[in-house]
Amino acid sequence: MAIKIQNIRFGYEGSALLKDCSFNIGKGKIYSLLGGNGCGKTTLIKIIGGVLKAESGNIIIDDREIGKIKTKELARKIAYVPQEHISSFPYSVLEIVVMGRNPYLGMFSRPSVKDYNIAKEALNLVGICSLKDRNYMNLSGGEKQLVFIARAIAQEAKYILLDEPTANLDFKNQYKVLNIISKIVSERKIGVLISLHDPNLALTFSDYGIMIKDGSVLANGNMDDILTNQNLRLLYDAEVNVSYLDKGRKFISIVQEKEEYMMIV
Amino acid sequence: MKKIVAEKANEDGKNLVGTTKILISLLIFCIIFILSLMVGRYRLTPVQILYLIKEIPKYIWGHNAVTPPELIFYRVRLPRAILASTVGAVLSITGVLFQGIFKNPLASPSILGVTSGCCFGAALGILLPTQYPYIVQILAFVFGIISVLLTYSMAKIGKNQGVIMLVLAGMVISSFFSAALSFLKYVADPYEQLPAIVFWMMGGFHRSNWTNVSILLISVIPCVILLISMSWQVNIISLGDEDAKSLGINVKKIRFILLIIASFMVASCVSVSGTISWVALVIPHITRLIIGSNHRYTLPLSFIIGGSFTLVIDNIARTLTTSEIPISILTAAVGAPVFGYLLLMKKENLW
Repeated sequence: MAIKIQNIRFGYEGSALLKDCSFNIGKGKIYSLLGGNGCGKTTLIKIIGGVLKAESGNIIIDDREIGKIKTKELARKIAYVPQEHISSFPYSVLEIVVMGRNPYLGMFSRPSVKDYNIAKEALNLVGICSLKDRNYMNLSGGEKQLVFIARAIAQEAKYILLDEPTANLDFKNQYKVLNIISKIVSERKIGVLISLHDPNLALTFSDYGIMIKDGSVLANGNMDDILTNQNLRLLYDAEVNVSYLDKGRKFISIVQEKEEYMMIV
Repeated sequence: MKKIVAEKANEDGKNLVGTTKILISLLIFCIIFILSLMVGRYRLTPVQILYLIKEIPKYIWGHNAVTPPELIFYRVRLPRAILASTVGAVLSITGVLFQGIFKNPLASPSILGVTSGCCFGAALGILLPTQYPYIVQILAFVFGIISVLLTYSMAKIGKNQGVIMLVLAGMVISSFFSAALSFLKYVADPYEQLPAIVFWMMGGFHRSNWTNVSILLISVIPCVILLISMSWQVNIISLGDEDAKSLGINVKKIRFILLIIASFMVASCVSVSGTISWVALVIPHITRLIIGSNHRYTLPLSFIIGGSFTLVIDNIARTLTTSEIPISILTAAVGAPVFGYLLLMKKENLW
């Protein structure tokens, strides 16, 4: 039981953004997607979530091709948390979260009390039950992110895809959000693919990593193994320093260019 | 678990508030409806009204109206009140739907070109030499539907399949039919036909009769039931295409179904009453201020409020002066200041 991503190719306006991406996502683990700005992380996540369609290649979800799974059924398997969300209407937080129950509802039906309870449980799990009657548009970036994570939980999917959930968050909230995600993964045994900018966060929270460079997979494997000097240098086109903290934990930083350093001093 | 059980009551309470608001507005609508049967050149007393309402079944079974109160009640006021409230209600509910689907509080049902198509069709009907009584309405309806289908097929040919393409295609088709309408006005006979076109476009319910009303009700009521029962889908589509898709909605299909139903309803209304401005824009906003954005409540409430508003405006239109004022003048004159007041007074970030 896994998502198999096979030879995905995708391009905007003729030029290929993703050339040949293949890797697997299993259950009960967190997978980090690393790569520079504009390398196609968001696009890849949207393709896996069925929002975009790949030009060629295949996504196999639990032994079935993504194209042969109906939209509603796919939503029961995969939940997608967008990077940011612009809403035009002032729904309450609970209303937003209960929308995650849609894959289980018919065309003419509405969420039942049971669905509302599942939504509230999801809010509880994420720890934002107190926000449930607030106007979602007035929330801060971090709170909004948590609302969408709660919605993904209410969706009861086997896999959750998160597109840079820490992008707009402050230092503490980045850890808070990622801690909540690890808690859900260990409690519900779901598979999570998460795109991140900070390799240190990826190392702290995820089990496996996938590095995307120039449209293909640069490295793929155990987080600790792939975070090498060489891989990181290729990935970010920069001199990277891997140092070791106490207990042998890696810490990754960018080596400042000398002239620039002098100027700062 | 205890916490969840305690909050369940709260959730039910919220539903109750929404339902209560809808019931209260329904009551207000009934009062307005009965009052509008009384007012006019020929004043009917409440006693007469009650008597006449009691006699409605008799009239339906073929009893002919003879006395002046009977004639005015059955032939003029009752069909007109039903027509005015239905048209207003339909325009408002489709306004809510379009704003939800297009994620834009400024969208209105005319965005896909249905209104321009109807106007062109009506003008064509006025110019044609045939004397067939319903030709104007039929052509208005047909061209309203044609324009929406043109918009949809144009958007479908385009590479970008999103909402923006639909809006732009709607603008193209609207402009085309506006140009065609201007041409018809230019060639129209300036003493008979041109005023007829202009008055048709300003809207009014003076064409009401039982044939109109019953055709309209038969075509519109099933659509309204369908729309309200699909309110949950509207909620999700209003989050945006990508979100809706990842929540398991076949966005293109559902959007097509909803917009075609709504356009059908609007074309049916506009072909009877002419264009009625502002209702489809203002009433959805007023409704959201009262009951929030959950379409489960917004759709039915806008239906009731839109009906009441249009009915009141129509009463003013036919009683203010000795001749009838075209209704669009009044909906804009009343609607615009009300809307402005609401915009300035709103406290919360509502859209």
